[in-house]
Amino acid sequence: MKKKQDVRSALALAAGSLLAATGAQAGDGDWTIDSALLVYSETDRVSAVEPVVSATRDLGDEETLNLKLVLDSLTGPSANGAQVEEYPQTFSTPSGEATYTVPAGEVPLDDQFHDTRGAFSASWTTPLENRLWKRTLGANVSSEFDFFSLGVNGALSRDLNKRNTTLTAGLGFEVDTIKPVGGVPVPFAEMFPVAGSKSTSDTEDRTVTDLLLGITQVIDRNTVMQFNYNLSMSSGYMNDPYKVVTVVDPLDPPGTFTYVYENRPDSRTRHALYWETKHAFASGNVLDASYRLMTDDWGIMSNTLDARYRIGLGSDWYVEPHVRWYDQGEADFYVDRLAAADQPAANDSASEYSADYRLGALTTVTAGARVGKKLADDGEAWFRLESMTQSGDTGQADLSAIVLEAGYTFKW
Amino acid sequence: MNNSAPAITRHEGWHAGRFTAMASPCELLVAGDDASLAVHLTAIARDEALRIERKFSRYRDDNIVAAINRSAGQPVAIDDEVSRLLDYADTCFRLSGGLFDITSGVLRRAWKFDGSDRVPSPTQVEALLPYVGWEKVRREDGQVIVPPGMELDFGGIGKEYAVDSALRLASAAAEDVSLLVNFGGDLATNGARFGEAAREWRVGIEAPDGGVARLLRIRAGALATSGDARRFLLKDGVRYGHILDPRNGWPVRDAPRSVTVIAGTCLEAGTLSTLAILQGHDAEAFLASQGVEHWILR
Amino acid sequence: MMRATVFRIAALGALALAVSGCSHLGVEPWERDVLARPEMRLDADAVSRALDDHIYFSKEASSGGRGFGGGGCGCN
Repeated sequence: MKKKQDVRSALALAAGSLLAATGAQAGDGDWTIDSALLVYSETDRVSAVEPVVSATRDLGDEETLNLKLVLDSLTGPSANGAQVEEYPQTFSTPSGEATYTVPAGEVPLDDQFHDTRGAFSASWTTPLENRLWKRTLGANVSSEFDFFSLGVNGALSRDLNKRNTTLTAGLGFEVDTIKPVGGVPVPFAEMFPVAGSKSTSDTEDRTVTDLLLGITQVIDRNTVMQFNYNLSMSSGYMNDPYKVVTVVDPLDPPGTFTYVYENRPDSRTRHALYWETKHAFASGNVLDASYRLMTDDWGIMSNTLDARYRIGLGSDWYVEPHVRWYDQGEADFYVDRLAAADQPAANDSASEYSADYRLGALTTVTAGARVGKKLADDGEAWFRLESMTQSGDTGQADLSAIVLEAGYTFKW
Repeated sequence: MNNSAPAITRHEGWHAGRFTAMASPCELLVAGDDASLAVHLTAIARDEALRIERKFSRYRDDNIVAAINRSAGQPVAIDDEVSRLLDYADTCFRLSGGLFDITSGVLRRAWKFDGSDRVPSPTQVEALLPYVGWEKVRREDGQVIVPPGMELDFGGIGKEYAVDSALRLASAAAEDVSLLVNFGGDLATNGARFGEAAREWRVGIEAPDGGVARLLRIRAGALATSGDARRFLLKDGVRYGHILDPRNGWPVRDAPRSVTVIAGTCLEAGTLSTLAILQGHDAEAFLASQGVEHWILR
Repeated sequence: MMRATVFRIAALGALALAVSGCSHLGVEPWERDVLARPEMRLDADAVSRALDDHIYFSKEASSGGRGFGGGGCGCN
């Protein structure tokens, strides 16, 4: 006879599976398909259409297989790093084959930006010894014309305390290959003349190692809480090959600017602490609140607050308002412009400057709502509309976008 | 079969519906003042109890159990529900190291626990042992193959399964209503329902002398009892309890007379209490290690 | 498996209980009715969350925490 809690928890599971299937006859052998379509549209900038299909197969005994395919099509102009000036500005396209001119007072946007991405991921979760342990193994591949990524990950989780506590430890490893259009820019090389601004190699790569430690705790019958710590270490090519920094030289005639390609550190270590809790009220409504604190060795620190409140409308419908607030400080090497006196020599990879607004002080506010209807057999149809607004220290950072999502979950 | 309308009695804040099934007095307690709801739910619980009794009773000759036990080693097609019960029995067999065995019913041919001194001879018991052993039963492709002379007996899990199943069906028919199903002392509650004030049921455990030995308050979960102090043989001063060890065909030594366990479902409670008795002398230690609330009568 | 009940058990009745007495963290297995609702799962809406993560990964300097941060895409 097995001792301790083994017998009891094994019996609870066996009784559960005996009793569960009587009416519904669902469960083993079904695919659950989660499909969704995202339409993302920034005012005057990028638009994206992103369909997703995620298929999860219940293999019985708490074993599951998930396959997910994401396609992503981006069009529209994107900020190139240069600042708004009181003069028209002329830039080279990434390929170096053409130039474009931005009118005075407008954010310099590179409108050659078109991209299609395909990503596929698979993960397989199996219960181990007496089902208190669980193991997940996963792999993902993502490809776009200037970027290729291959990753593997694994996680172990352990249920404790009558399954009220779950400890999780995971490791992920990823290799990214970057093949910028028009070649890899030489750090701090000037955009003009195009000849000589690109290095001889046409690809770069980086590795990313992720560690995730988590604890999930059932607080009471209506409340569950999660704490995670995520360490992420990237090493290799961290630059954005399409971003430049404006150099201002007081000796140059007004309206004359020099643009140099950015350069970032060749490694980054991020620490993120994440807390989330879900609470069901007596009304049946559910509050989902989360907070994330992130710091890294680039000097960035950010806070993210997210809250969703799901309100039941009758037995099938619900509406879920959502707000998200994000705030980050700037990276140590962030500049909006560079004075000529500080301009590093081309290929001075020891110097680090970027004017990418995403590395500057930035606030993002997102607000919206989701409406959904539960369907038979655990299915669901839902629709989400949100507005996202970013603001920061420069005109580049002023961005507003509409996020539209529609999803449909069904058994197949 | 009793298909007449169940008897409903009204109480302060709840109703009780009573009927007979599985040779036991059965009842469904329904919180609230809605008598017609109690009638409706009791009919659901009764129908489910009678359905399971018809399908799994070993005293009938027209059900799947009879077909299996007559099969003489030929494959018998079984449906999903029978298959899941066999899965459960298989889990119990493995967890108990072979002590919990739904093929051990054939030992009753030698043992009649009627309070007399008619203890069978070792030869009689020995002769039956080849027909005991769940590991000899094969299952494949929706079929079960039971060797000739062997029998399956769902008596050890059937009533508990009926309690849980009846509760599930009745709960599904009346969301947000607190219910308690009690089939002859094996009972289960659906817990305080969401959106309703938490409600607890008071359950009295009757002492062997007929008085209330203990008053329990149960808000969620289930309770089941195994063992029967009145079913034994007594010979030469030795008491032979009615729970048999399938490995040797003899009563479990030092078995408690009865064990009551509280657990999440009636199936779990009933199985844990049976497993405890099968531990004999170690029943207390076993239940203590499982961390369940329990009472043992020796 | 021969068995019967020795304790005859009678359910005596119900009474309302105003306050739950338990103060420890966690619940018994049979008290998971609310937590078992799909929307109470911490991994609910995984597809939608992943879409969000992708948006914010491309627009902000932070990622990860909830899950792996990853190297992400080269997208703007």
